[in-house]
Amino acid sequence: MNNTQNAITVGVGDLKITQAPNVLKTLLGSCIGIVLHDPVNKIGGLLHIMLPKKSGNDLKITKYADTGLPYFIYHMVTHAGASRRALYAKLFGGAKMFEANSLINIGETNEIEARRILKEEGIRIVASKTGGTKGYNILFDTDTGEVTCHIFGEAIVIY
Amino acid sequence: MHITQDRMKVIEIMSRLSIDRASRALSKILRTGAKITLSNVYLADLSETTEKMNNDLREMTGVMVDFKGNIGCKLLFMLPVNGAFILTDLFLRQPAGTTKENNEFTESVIQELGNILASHISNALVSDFDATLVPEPPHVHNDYAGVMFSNLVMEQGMMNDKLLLMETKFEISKNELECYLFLVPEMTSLIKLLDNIGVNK
Repeated sequence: MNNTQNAITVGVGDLKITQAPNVLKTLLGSCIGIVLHDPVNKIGGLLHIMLPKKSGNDLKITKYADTGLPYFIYHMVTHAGASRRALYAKLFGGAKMFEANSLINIGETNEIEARRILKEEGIRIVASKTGGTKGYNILFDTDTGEVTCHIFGEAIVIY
Repeated sequence: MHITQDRMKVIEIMSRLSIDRASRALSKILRTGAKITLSNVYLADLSETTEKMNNDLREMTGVMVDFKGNIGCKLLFMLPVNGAFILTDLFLRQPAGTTKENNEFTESVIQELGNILASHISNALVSDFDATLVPEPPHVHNDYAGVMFSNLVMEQGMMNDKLLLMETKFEISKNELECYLFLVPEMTSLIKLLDNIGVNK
């Protein structure tokens, strides 16, 4: 990965789609980061979801798996020019942070919902690293599709 | 969510008073000048703020406190890992440089500091503004700065795309310590409280 200096940062509940040679990056706690990549057209996106299902009146649909993920797939194909058949997904995050807080199982629920929707949409998950109690720093190279994952206090692993 | 200028002014005064009280308590407990000043109170966009913070990959020690009562609120006090060693030495009246690694003492000290900050902030709000604010037990965590910040704003972010953020500057005399104290109140209940004390515009 040689473009980390100019990596595009994705905030909580946000979605960014770009193409090679750009790199997308984010930090994840209990949130789930979903990467979609089209290796033929070298287009990639990163969705940072907070919750499995939308329930409130807030406007940002990319915070939720059930609204954000279909929106992500639609934008990858319709606006960014990715081939739906070529798309694959990678999943990261979903840690149990600050053990006793009320969000204790949110990471796991987010992951279950993301997997369910991807299956429904017919998009295969080729790699994932989820769970634990520490934060994830991930960098997604839209050229190669590689995700460099650095969990706090652990060695860097490429997926 | 919109907060009028008048309301924002009152929120700023409330924050300043409570943070001043926490600052005095901290100076007393550390027996050195600890100065916390309010640097900014603002309505932040969830994604934009976390996008900025997600570039912060420093390894931090943080303590998070949840408040229950008629205003829901969250507090995060975090500092670089080596800063936690300095605070541990100050708190335990040890010569500087005694603490060299994270251990149960460091964790207890940071937890206790979180407790002190939270209690004094809630005391100020309870006595001056008729709020009920009960701090829950503090939780200590080591992680990337950006991850801890995201965790702080998660709950508010679930209900709203905007969040009310109170940022402070934190100085401890004779020590170059970069500490961060953030307060994120639950907005609906805070506005109810403002209504109750007559700030209804």
